[in-house]
Amino acid sequence: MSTVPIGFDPDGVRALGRRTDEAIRGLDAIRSSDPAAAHAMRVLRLTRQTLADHWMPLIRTIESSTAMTRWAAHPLNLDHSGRLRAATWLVDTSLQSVGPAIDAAFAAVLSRLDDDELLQRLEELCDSHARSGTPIDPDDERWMAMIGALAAELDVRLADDRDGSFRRALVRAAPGVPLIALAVGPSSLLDRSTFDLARAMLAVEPWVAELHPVVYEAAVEGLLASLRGSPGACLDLLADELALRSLASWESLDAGLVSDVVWRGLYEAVADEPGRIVDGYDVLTALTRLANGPLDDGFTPGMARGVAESLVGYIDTLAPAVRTEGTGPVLVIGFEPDFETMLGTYDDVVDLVGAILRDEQAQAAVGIAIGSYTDDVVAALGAHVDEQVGLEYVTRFADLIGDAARSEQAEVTMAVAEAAARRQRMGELVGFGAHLALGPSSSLVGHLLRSTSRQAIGVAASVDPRSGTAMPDLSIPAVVYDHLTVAIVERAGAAGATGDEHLSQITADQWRLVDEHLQDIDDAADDPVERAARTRRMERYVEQFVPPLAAYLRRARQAPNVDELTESRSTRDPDRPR
Amino acid sequence: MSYSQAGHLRRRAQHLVELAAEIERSAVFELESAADHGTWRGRRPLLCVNLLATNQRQLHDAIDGLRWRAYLLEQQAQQLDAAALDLRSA
Repeated sequence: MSTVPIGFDPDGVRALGRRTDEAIRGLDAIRSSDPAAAHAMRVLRLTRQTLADHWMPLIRTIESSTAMTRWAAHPLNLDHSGRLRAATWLVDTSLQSVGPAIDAAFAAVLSRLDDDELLQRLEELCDSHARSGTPIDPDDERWMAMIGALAAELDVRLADDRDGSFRRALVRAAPGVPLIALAVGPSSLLDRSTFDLARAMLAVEPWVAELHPVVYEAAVEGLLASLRGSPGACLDLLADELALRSLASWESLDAGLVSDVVWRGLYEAVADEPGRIVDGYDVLTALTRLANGPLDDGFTPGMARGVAESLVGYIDTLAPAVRTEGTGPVLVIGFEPDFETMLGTYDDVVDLVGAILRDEQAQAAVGIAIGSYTDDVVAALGAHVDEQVGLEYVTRFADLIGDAARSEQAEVTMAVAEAAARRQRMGELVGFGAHLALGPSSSLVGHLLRSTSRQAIGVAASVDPRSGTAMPDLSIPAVVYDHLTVAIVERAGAAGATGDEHLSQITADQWRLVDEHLQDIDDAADDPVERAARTRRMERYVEQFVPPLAAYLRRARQAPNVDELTESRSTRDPDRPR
Repeated sequence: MSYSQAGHLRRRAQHLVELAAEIERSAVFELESAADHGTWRGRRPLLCVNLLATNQRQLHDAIDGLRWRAYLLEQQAQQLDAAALDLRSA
């Protein structure tokens, strides 16, 4: 029968008890009746529950247990030579038994070896486990103890490594000895070693990782978790095409972790340092190549989500680059900093978006990006929306997303997210610099995108697709067309108030009825089917009963490509394969 | 009328910002440093530490959420101010 190693430091546990008690009292003292704080208060209660129901009972049990009095007399608490023997035996017998003092003993063994011997010994250990079919289990506490000792030893040697030779040797050896990365990832402060190891471990053929199942993946995940502390390092990692390909294709890596690294690299690094948008576009260009080559089946969910969430930063420079369909080039031109990047052809970029849209959270994030961008462009035009400048960027990009969408459910998810972005006035989030000087931080933008995505996915799951002609067109072009219609009518109110000679002919009663239609549409924000139907009703009312407003709407819709957004309304066949 | 509404929104925004800072200062974020392997080890301690880590992540999200709501309230207050100014000048 195997036993689970346990160990306690009596003074430490007593101190922990005091601090836990203080933390509980501190949580109790935090109060708010503001409705906007309701979620935060719920989380505070949950946290208090964890401390009161799990931490305190365990701490009290340990304090009253005799186990603590046996701590000093543990059979493996040996003298120096005994520890060395125990540690040597540990390595040779693959951790069949261990006690609380073993990490110290193992550390003593490690410290006696020179650099080459250390790496050789670790390689033999990993090899023997790979060959024997008893893989290293990083969640096993015996291995955790060993890895902790190894981490401390590597920290010491890296600190003394003035010429960098040990770091280079570690990086070379890392893909064959995943224990190295497992030790360095979570234990060290983020430094050059973490980045180099992550890049080395990701830039391998898949079979190398398969030699060390579980442990290789855990090692990479540990390194990625550390790298998240530096958005700039995340972007550097994504800029390595081999590492990028691994992150976009390694299905079993933790999706949340990968999406976080991609978000921090593609969005936060650029928000922190706007000049790095050029590097961000280089990553998007590399992803476009992958989507049109080896990864034409789509990206991993983590990569898809990370890229889709970052789109809100890039969309104001990307959308104007989308011009002609087919083989027309998508040439992104940026100002401050000045740059030009050829992302690929229109069809190439359609495939990039298609590779992203295979994940539900990514679909929601893309919906939010286009909704936010539409909101941003219309808001910038203000009362002059009928002058149309910039609307074609929205319409062409909406067409591109429509071309990339492959399933009706994806369209519904994007439609709901698009509406949510409009309702929450997320146009302010577009870009990296324009709004952010006095606006929300990167972490706030990320939080908002993710919480809105989650809500949109929940709503989309409850949408009941109707059969035949009763189901309105919920493709992104059609949804953006409706968004523009509503936004233009809203802006017309402002234009009328500022003295537009045609709009000023509209009576107060007519405006009141238009407002009621707009309110009806807003009330259906969570029901894309009903929302589309109510938008149609408002359009009909305006056309029949408010001619000056209908004329204003027509003028605004004369922007290039706007009417093409509604092509599928009349031609759509619900049974058509998509 | 809108000046007092704007003031109310600003007070709420201020309260949310202060609440976020109060949560951020909570001792709950310092517990894990006293709960490492040097203090205790085993499956139940590991479970406790993992549960707390999950709660800490949720708290960080909630803190972000409070600041975002405060930002939106502040924006709304500014819009009310601007509307009131327009009304007075008209």
